[in-house]
Amino acid sequence: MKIICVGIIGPQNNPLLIHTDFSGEERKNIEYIVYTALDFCEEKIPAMSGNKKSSLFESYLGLLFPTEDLRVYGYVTNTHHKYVLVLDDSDVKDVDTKKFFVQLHDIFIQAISNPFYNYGEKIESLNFISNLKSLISKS
Amino acid sequence: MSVSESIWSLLLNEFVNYVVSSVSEPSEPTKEENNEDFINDPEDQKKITKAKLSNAGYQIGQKLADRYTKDRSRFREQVDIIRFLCKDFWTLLFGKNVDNLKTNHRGMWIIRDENFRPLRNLSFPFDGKNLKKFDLNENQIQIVQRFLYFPCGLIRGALSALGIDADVDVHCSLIPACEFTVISKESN
Repeated sequence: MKIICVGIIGPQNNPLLIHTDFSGEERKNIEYIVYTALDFCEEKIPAMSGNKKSSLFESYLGLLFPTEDLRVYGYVTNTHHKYVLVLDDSDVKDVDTKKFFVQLHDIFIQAISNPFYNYGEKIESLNFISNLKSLISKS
Repeated sequence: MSVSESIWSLLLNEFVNYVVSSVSEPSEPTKEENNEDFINDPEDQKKITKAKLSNAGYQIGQKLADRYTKDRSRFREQVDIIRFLCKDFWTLLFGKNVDNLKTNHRGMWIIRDENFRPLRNLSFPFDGKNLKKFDLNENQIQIVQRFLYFPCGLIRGALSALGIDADVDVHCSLIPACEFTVISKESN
């Protein structure tokens, strides 16, 4: 799969990371797509009480929405962080995107264990970026 | 992931002692005359010790919450979060489940641990008469409390990261048992 952008959004919908190779106007458009994805995430996250269907409580939210030439996937953690993955229009299996999110979760946990990182701030650590780049190149 | 119990408790002891002494004793003689770090009033000292320890716990608790909830599905209700706190989280941090959990179903939980790990090795000098466990006097309670501010912060931090904004207080009258009171801010 070809990854266009990876976004990590905090519990207050504060962006912690938006990683993409594009710059300038194109980057702005992609950021806009990531923010749009948040609304779709909210929709997919059911209210906490009352709902008994267990599949609704998975972290992996699946395909959030397709645009003309992009597909946007979502994932939400127990700590209300949202991960957004923007892919190109080629065919991908859910298994692969899910695996990517799980691995992203792993390196996110490593990143917040960095003693210089304060919870809720943007993630800028070198380790995290290089881990993320190698994760992207592998998938 | 497991951590050696001995290093956990020794590190906590050192940490608590360090914070207490850094607050109550002037550190190095500083160049500036007004050393703002030094506080004279014992009540203030107590408050600052509590704030420092509990904030450290809060930071760590938030980070742990992500780590410890990674491989499970998302929580459905507040009760699930509290259940997670009392079983998984408690076991990972303190080596056992809690002994008793009470709630008023309106955002307040009382968690009791009869043998709380950070207090397990804590003991006061033998008074020469009674070998049985005894009720602590006021002064001793103050000393014991110091070791509970950090765990309190851990709990507060983890709950806040998982979506329950709560005040956590702790009370201990007979070591090594203690009782945490969690009050959700939403319910008020």
